[in-house]
Amino acid sequence: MSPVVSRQLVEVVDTRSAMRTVPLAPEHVLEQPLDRWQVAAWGLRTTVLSPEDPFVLAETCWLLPDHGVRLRRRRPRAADTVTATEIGAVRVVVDGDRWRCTDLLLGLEVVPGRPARVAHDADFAAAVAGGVLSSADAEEAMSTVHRVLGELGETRHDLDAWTTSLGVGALAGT
Amino acid sequence: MGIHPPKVETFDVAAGTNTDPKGFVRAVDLYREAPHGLYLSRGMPDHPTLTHLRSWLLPALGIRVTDFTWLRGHERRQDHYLDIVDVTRDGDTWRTEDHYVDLVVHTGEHTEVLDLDELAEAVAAGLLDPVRAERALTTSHRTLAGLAAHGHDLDAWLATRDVELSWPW
Repeated sequence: MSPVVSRQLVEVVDTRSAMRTVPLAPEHVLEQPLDRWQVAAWGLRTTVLSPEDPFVLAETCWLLPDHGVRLRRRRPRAADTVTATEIGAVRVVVDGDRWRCTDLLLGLEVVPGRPARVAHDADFAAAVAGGVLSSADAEEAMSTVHRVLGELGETRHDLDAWTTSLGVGALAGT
Repeated sequence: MGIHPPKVETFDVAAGTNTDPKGFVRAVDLYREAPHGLYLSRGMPDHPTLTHLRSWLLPALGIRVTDFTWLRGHERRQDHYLDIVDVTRDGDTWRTEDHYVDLVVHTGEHTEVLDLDELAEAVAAGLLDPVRAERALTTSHRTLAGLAAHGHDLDAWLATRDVELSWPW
């Protein structure tokens, strides 16, 4: 499949209004109410329910501004589905109750029992070549992903050990 | 510093020469071919800080592993220098195309990743197409993950790929 040159996505979480705003298209914005959220020393955790999604019950995200990453885990409706965790390179700017998260279009996918693998690298390369992502943002994304990959390798790809080292604790059960 | 096109080197085993990216032809002291790649050892005359390089080109892994020898007073704490490269071969002539990203292995401690900015600029400038850029990223990620999983020990990681390196002069 040919790489897709994506738009750079900026989502905003407002904990005052308990809403997450996600741009889907140039003139289409998806507003989702937060079911739960927690502001912590390491960042922000949010959970959004998805009652209309036939496959996913809920999505939980962890935004870690100091580490430049967003962890995302979707809870499937089918109990026997393996849950992958996405680790995306992002830039997070916090302004009061508003958390603005810019997707840098490169990330990792972690499936239990397997080494982390890089996700979206073909789309990422196309986005850089197409000018969707600036060189500076591309370098930031690659630096973040290389750093996280190295850290995960040192923990034998034990995701909970890595998130614990960041102060988040184990993701299991959240 | 302006970004440059990918650097190309050629290694002529029959002639015993290595043509560097600037087109200078250098005499090679030793070439040795192995199932996993090509080894060379040569002096670096006129270099301001280095006296000798010993390198392995490893096509299947997409890397060039180099052990530099430094002039007295210019030594650096590094064990192996890894270039992310495409390696091709035509008879006795091997060719590398450098894809900007480098990894510096400090054995047992950590691995530095260098020149990601150059890779980003080269792709944005159209000097490296997305297919090769993706391959460079995949290679650097795989290499870094392998090194990290083996205590930043190059030999330990390469052993899992059935590669054992020797470094004769």
